[in-house]
Amino acid sequence: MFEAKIDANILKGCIESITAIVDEGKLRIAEDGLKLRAVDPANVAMVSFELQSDAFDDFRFVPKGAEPEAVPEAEPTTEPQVSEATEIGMDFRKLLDILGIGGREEVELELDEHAQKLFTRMGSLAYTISLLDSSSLRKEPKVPELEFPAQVIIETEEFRRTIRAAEKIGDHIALGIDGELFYMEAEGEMDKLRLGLRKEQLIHLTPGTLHSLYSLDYITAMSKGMAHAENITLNLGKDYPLQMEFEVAEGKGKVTYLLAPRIESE
Amino acid sequence: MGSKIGEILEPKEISLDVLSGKIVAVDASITLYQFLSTIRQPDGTPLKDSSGRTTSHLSGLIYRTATLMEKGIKFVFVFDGKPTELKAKELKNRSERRAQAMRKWEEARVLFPEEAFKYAQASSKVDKPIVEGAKTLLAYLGIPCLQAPSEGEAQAAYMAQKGDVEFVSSQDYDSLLFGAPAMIRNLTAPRKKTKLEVIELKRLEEKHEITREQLVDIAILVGSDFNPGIKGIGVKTALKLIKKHHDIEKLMAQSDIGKKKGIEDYALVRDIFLHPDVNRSYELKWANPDEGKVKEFLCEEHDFSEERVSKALEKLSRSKHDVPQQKIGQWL
Repeated sequence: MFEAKIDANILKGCIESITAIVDEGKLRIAEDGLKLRAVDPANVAMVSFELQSDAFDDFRFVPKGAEPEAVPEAEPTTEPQVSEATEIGMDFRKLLDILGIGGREEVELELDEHAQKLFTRMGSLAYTISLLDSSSLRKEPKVPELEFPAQVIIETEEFRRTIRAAEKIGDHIALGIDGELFYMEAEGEMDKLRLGLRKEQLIHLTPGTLHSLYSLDYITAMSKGMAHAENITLNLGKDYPLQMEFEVAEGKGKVTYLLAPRIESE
Repeated sequence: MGSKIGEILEPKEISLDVLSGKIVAVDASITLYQFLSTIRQPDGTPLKDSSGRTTSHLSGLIYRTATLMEKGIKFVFVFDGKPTELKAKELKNRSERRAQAMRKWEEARVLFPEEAFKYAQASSKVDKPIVEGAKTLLAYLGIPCLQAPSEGEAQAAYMAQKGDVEFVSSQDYDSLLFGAPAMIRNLTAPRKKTKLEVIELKRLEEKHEITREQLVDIAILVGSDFNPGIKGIGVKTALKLIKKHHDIEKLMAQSDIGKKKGIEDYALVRDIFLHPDVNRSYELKWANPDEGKVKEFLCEEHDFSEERVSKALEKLSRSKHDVPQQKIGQWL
């Protein structure tokens, strides 16, 4: 059983951060909130999304197994029982469209697991979304084990502005650190763009020397997904994936993007 | 050519950008045929060098492929091997049609010039010198060529199934019957006249609720490169029949269709499509174009314009500087 109420704008911001990478995925509902981890169809980027239950005005979840008759007389476990989760196949693009129509009101969500439907209600507007068959969706990716040698924390607006300018120049962008300087660089056939920020102009910087190239198509989509966050944390390496972390739902949710680099052959 | 199943397929128009960074296996015979039949002078004469050798196919390869490679598409050319016995008959028919077209072209060039181009097109033939020339140029361009033991499309479809290439590019639909998950049409055709389309086997199966095996049976009923098919049965009828009776055996048991001519060899044809002879141990290697060799071959040997060839090579070197996108999987 899952029933919840949440500010439509907050939910919209959250869903937008997901649709920057994937249109559909397996959303995990548990007592502590919602979670998703998914890789984009081209296997280039991953999104991890977490929304705590206290981001909701109302959040009630009872796992299937909690119904007494459903609990089998299993061997006794000494471990405290971990709360179970329900997994639903969600068309996020559709949900986003509906939230766009509904406007700024509070949205009520109610899951009917047997009928595989999610009821959404915004004011007097009710919309029933059919869930996707989660067996037809891609398997949830593994949790990446990465070690990033450097970290930069930057104002989102500064980052997004640079990406918007870079888009006009080429199809990829370099992110790097040179000593105590963080830079973003795009070079096209005709034009060149460089943003250089010293340590004191940033919220945080690990000094070093490194540099990686990334697809602008992806970073552009991601920068739209992070529009509501004040700051973003960039974890960087040399010819290494880029990890971008930011908060959603006024700090009660967290989104992490991981983007594979472009690497010069030979 | 190919199976006459076009009408029930579900082509989806796509833009060239979707193919950027993708590996495409090209059915070489059909592509060279396309170049030979369309790259011609207004009266139907193919492009020729000063010693009278046809160069339409080389022109197509250098100019059209360069444009596509600039978009970031990686090519593999797959050539036909030995035709199966069943195809030999179809090939004989084709050669007769070609000879007839050649005669008509000769007549028309004088009497009805506006008809000439059509007949000239139909007289195109991918013969040995054409194939050899194409292979030489492709090698200089650094594009891998693969010799299929039998059908080129079967080989390409096998590579697509394995995931070594993402699409098979062809004009007829046999790639799907050979099991290619996705095929593209009109990739090497002139862009202004034709739309680029992709056909996905899975979508097709879902749409008509049929399996690939059933699609093969449908193709056999309407006629393929390996059997004439039953006269009067179109693809829509064939689809209905196979959906109702499940396969050709049951259809023959429950109707008098087996008495009609055209599908006697259905079991053999089915085997060609479902279990084709393919090369399973191949290696695909791309190299940078050898600009000197390309120019020597095209400009000195075949009288191409040095300026145009240089421009095409420039396009290729631009695509070479593209930095390849990595997949995230290697870090998960």
